[in-house]
Amino acid sequence: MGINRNAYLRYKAIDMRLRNRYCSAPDMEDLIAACGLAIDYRPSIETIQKDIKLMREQPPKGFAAPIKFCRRKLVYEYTDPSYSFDTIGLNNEDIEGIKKALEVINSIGTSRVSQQFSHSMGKVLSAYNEEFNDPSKNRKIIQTDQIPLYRGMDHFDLLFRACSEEIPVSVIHYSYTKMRFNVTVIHPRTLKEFENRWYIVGFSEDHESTRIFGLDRLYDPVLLKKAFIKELENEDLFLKDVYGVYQCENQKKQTIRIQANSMVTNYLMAYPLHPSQEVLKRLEYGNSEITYQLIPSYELIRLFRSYGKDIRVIEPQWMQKEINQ
Amino acid sequence: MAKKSVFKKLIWQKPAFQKGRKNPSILRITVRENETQVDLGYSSFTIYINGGWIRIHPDTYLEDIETGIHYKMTRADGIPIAPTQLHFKTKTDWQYFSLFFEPLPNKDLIINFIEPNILVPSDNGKNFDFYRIKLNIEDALEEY
Repeated sequence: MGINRNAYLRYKAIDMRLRNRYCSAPDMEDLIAACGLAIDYRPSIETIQKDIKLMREQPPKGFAAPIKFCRRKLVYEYTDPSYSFDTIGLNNEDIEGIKKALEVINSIGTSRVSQQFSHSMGKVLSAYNEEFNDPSKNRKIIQTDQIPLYRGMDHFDLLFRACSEEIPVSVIHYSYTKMRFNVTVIHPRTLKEFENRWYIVGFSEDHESTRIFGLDRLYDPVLLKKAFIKELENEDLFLKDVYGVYQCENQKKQTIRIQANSMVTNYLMAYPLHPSQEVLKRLEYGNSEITYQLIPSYELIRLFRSYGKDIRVIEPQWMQKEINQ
Repeated sequence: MAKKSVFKKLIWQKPAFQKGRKNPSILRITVRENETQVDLGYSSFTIYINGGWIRIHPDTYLEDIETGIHYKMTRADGIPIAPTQLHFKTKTDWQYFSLFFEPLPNKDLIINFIEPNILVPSDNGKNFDFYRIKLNIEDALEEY
């Protein structure tokens, strides 16, 4: 395995020695001895000096370790006694698990979520590259949709905080359909992703109901000192009982029954559209009748249309007409 | 000992005004200790070729009607300062922009938003003016 564990072990040894309150603050010789015990050979002064330099570096290159050299006593110490380079002990299985997860995150690209997340993951990924980089395995194993940065993603961190701490937000919204600006106060509950686009779900004071807003249409959100309003009973309409985001007007949750040919049936059985999907019957040549319990949405209609003659809507009748138009 | 009053960061959404344009629309006014921010939204006009253009006069100001004090614009975000123009590409484009002014006081106010007349004669009458904008503290939201 091409894992260079030595640097990692040295950092841990230095960290442990600096945090050991039962010994006096270590000098260079003490640190070399501590590292020597960890890696089974005696590292050079230059190696330890480089390690300390890297540990002091700000993330993502280093670990922001507050190591100070006391010129009077010629010893090293942490200026922040609560600092620890590594508070979690990881065994080999943990490390392998984290490596796989990091490969996935690395492939997805952290920037599509948020700046804060990207920065945090940058630290982890740089540590990963430092410790576990195997030059023979530079080929990307996982390929996912690469989403370029898009408008509104810079609000992600603020809206995430607003959701988690239940803080109302003043937002300016531009409607693509009405082609006009509006400003409202949202009491945000959930950030939702659908087809690589992010939305915020929450009670809108202007609409006096729970609404969903695309982040790409929001400008300049501002957190407000204001009592938070929850409209819990309507959240499922946006989060659980709908495929996609935009519901068809005046439609409630209902049974949607389709007939799909064998090819589409195979796809739908492999990748169900929604947890409520149920295959009612399989016909002789692999065709099937499938039902969903959903609030009809524009995304669902668009999806059914995209299958052309391979899917036929049986009920509701209005949707059948709409798709056949 | 007298208590030191704390400056509240206040926000008015869609503040009421007596006279002014519908486009751009005043979306929000935020009064902070160090500056006042006015957020506006503009949709390009269909009468102009490719939606026309926008810009803001460098001497735009807010005026406290009661005292007559002018609060100068200090910077603009999302709109160029004249004579530079932002040209739209289509008749359905839109632009959100913010103008920043010297700080207004933390009290009930009625203000005018004035973009001075003309850099060139053809600009006449096209300036973004709003008169008697009501900023009552009790109508305001407070920034977190």
